[in-house]
Amino acid sequence: MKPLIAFWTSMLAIIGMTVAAASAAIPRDQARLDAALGTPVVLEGGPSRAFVKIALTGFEFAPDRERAPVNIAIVLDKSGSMGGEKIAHAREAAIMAIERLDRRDVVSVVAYDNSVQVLVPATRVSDRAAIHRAIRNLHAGGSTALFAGVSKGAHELRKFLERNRVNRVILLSDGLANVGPSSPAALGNLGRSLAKEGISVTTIGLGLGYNEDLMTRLAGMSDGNHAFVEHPSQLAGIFDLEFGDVLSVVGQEVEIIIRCRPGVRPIRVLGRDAEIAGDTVRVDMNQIYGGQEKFVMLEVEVPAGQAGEQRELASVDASYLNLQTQRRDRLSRQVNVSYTHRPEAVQKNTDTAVMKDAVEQVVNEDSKKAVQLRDEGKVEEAREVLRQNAQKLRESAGAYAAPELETFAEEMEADAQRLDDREDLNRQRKALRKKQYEKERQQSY
Amino acid sequence: MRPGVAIALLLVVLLPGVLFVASAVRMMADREMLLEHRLAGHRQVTLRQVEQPLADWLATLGARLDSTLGSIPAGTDDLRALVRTTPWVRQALALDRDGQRHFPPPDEPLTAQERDFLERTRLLWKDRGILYPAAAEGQSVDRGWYAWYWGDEMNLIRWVRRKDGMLVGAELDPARLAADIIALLPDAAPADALLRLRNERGVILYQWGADVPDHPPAPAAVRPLESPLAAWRLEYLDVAPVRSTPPPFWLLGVVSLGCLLMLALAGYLYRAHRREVEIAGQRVSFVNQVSHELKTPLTNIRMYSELLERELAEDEDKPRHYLGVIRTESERLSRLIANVLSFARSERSKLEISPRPASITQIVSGTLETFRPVLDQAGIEVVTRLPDDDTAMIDADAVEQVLNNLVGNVEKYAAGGGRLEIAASRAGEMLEVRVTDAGPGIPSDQREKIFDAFHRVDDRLTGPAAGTGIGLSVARELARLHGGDLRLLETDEGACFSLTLHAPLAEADP
Repeated sequence: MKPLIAFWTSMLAIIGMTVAAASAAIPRDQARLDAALGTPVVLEGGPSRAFVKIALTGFEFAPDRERAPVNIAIVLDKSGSMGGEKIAHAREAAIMAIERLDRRDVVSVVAYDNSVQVLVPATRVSDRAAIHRAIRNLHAGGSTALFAGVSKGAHELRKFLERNRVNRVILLSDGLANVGPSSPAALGNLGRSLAKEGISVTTIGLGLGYNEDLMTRLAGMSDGNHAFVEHPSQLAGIFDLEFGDVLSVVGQEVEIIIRCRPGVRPIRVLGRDAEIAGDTVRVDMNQIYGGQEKFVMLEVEVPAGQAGEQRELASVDASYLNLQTQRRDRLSRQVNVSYTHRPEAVQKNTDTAVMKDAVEQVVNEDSKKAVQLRDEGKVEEAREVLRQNAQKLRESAGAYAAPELETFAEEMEADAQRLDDREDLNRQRKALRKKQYEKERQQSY
Repeated sequence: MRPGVAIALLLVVLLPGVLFVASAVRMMADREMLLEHRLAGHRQVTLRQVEQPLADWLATLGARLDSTLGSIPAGTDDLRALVRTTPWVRQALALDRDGQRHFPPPDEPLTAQERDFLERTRLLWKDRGILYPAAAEGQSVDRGWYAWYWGDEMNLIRWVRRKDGMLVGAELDPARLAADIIALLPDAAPADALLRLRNERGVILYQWGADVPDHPPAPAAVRPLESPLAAWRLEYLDVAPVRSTPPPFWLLGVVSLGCLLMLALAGYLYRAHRREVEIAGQRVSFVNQVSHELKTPLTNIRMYSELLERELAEDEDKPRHYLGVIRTESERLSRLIANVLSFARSERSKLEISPRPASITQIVSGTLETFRPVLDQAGIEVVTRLPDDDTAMIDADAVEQVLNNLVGNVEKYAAGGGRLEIAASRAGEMLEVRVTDAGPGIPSDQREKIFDAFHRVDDRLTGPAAGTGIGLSVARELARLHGGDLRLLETDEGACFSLTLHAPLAEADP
C-alpha cells in the first residue's frame, strides 16, 4: 500500500509542479517585457554604438473575462468641404463602428465647423436609435474649428473618465484648421496634455485637404493612431480597424524607465518622444494592445571595454495598469553587454530581429529628413536621401536575413521616383507621413 | 369762405396734428434709445454671464496649483513627476531662498523639455525680480501669476513663495489652457448673436451662437477676461439686423384716432361756418329781394301821384297839398330802400360805382329840388355855392344817395339851426362837396362812431334817435368806392361834412 501512495503522491507532485511551471512560463494575464541589445557582443576597445530594443507585448484577455469598457469621443469635421459623399460616409462609418460597442461603453459625438456642436453628449451606449438619429442629423457647411472640436470632445470624455476605461478621441478632418489654434505645435501640446490624463487622440485625415503634420503631431503626442483615407468609402473600414484597436487595449498608463549604467550614454530614442536626463531614459505610452508589440528603440553609446569583459549595460523597468486585474504590473529586465576581440563572435551573436527593427527605425527617421528637403524644394537632395536609405535597407536585408527590409527598400525606391511629380506631391506627402508614423509607433493598421 | 377763416381752420387742424405726430415720433425715438440701452445692457449681462464661470475656473485652478506648489517637496524627481502627471502644467520651476535656480536643476543633466523651458524664460533668469511685483509697504506678496510673451504667444506661470523660503512655480500649457476654457464655453447662444473668444494675438479661439456671416460686423460689445487672462476678450456680435420693434399698436391707434378726430372737428367747423355763411347770405339776399319788391310798388305810387297831379286844376290846393305829401313820403321811402339795398350790397361786397359823365352842379340842384318841400316845412334856409357846370366822371346815383343821406340828416337832426349850405369845389381830379348846417353839432366822442353801421346819436333833447343808423355808413362806403371819402370836419358850431370824390373831367355825353 505504501509504495502506491508514494507513487501517486509523487505523480501528483510532478503534475502539480509542471502545471505551475507551465503557467509561470506563459503568463496568461500579464504583458511580456523583452529587452535586448542588437549587438550583445561588441568588439573590444570602443566606445561604440548599439541599439537596445525594449518591447512590451500585450496579453490576450482570458476568454472568460470581458474586455475593458471603452469611453470614446468621435469628433467629426462638418466644414463645407465635407459636403456630399464625405459627410454621408462619415456618418455611416461612425454609426457602424458604434455597433461594436455595448452597454458598458460610453460614446459621445461632437461635430465642428465654425463652431462646435455636441451631437451626442457622453452617454452609455444603450439607446442606439437616439445616437443614430443625432448622427444622421449631421450636415456640412462652414469653416474648421479643429482645436475647439478636439477640446469639446475631450471635455465629453472627462464626464466618464476612468482609469480602467479606455479613453479615446477619434478625430476626423478633411481640411485645414482655420478657426482657433492651428499650428502643429499647439495641437501637439494639447495632445501631450491629454495624454497625461490617459486620453489618446486618433487622427483620421480624409482626402487631400488636411494638414498631415498637424494630424500626426496631435496623434503622436497623445499616443493615438493616425490614418490617411483617400476615398470616403474607405472610412467605414478605417473606423472598424480603429475601434478594433480600442476594444483590444489590455494595459494603460505605461511607463518604461531605462537606467543606463555608468559610462553608458543614451543618445536618442527613435520614433517616440522620450525624456532623457543624464543616464535615465523615460518613455510613456498611453496603452498596449492585446497581442500587439510596441517597442522603444534606444541608441546608446557603449563604453570602451576589454575582451572577455562582461558588464551590465542598463536596467529596464516597465509598469502599466493591467485592465484585466485592475492592478499595476511591474516588470524588469537587465541588459548586459560583453566584449570580444573576434568579429565573427560579434556577427554570430547579433540579434537579427532587433537589428532589423533598428535599421527600419533609423531609415524611417531619415526619410523624415527627405520630406523636409522636399518641402524646401530640394528635390534631388531629397531623392538622394531616399535612395541611400533604400541602399542601406538592401544591405541590411541581406545581413540580417530580413525580407521585410527588402520590401521596405522597394517602397522607398518607388517613393524616390515619385518625388518630383508635382501634381501628386500632396498625396505623396500625406501617404509618406502616414507610413512613417505607422512604422515608428508600430501601428496595427 | 374768407381766407382768414380758412387759414384759421387749417391751423386748427394742422397744429394739433403736427404736435401730436411730433410727440409720437419723439416717443418712439426715446423708446428706440431705451431699447438700445437695454440691449447694450443685455449684451454686457450676457458677456458677464459667460465670463463668470471662466473666472471661477481660473481661480479654482490657481487655488489648486497653490496648494500643490505649497506642499510639494522641491526635489528634482518630485517636480518632474508633477510635470509628468499634471495635464495643465507644462513645466515647473523652483528658486531657493536666495533666489538661485533650484529647478530645473543647475548641476544635473536636463531633459530637452527643460532646456526649452529655460530658453523661453530667459528674461526671468536674468532678473528674478520680474517674477513678483514690488511688495507694497508692509505687505508681502507670497503668490501670483506671471505672464510673459515668447514670440507672440502668451505664457503663464503660477508661483508660490513658501514658508520654507522656496519659491515654486508651475508653467501652464497654453494649448491646454485654451482647450479647458473652450470646454467651459457653451454651444448655444441667442440665435441673433455670435459670441467669440479671442486670445492675446486676436486669434479666435472659439465662437458659438448664430451662423457666421461672410462679413462679420464689428463687435457690438467687448469684455476682457479677468487677470491673468486680461489680454483675452469676449466679443458679442449682432449678426441679425437689430430689428427695431414695430411701434406698439396702441400708439398708432391713438395717433390715427386723434388725426381722424381733428379732421372730423375741422369738417364740422367748416360745415357749421358754411351754414352760417349760407344763412347770412340768405338773409342778405332776402333783404335784397325785399328791397326790390318794395321798389316796384313805390315806383308805381310816385308815378301815379305825378299823373294825378297833372290831372288836378290849378286851384285845387288841398288835393295838391295832399299829393305833395304823398310824393314826399314816397321819396323818403325810396331813399330809405336805396340805403338798405346799398347797405346789403356793401355787406356782400357787391356795391359798385359806375362813373359817367355828369355835372355835380346838376346833381346837387336836383337833390335840393327833391328836398325843397321838406326843407321849407322845416324852416331851413338853403345856400349853395356851386361851380360852373363842369362835366366829370361821376356816378350820379351814388352821389345823389350820399347827398340824400347828408341832407336828410340835416332835416332830421339840425333843423333847429335853420340853415343848410352846400358848396362844391374842384382840386385837380378831386371834387369836394361840403354840406354844412347850424344845428347842435356832433359830440366829440361820437365823431367816428356816427359812421358805424347801425349807430345813432341819441340826443335826449330831441327825443329817441330817429333813422336806421345805416345812412352815414352807406354814404361813406359809396364815397370811398368813388375814390374819395366822407369826413366830419371840426367846426365850432353845427356840423360840416366833407364829401370828396375822384371825378376826373370828362367829355360831355353827346
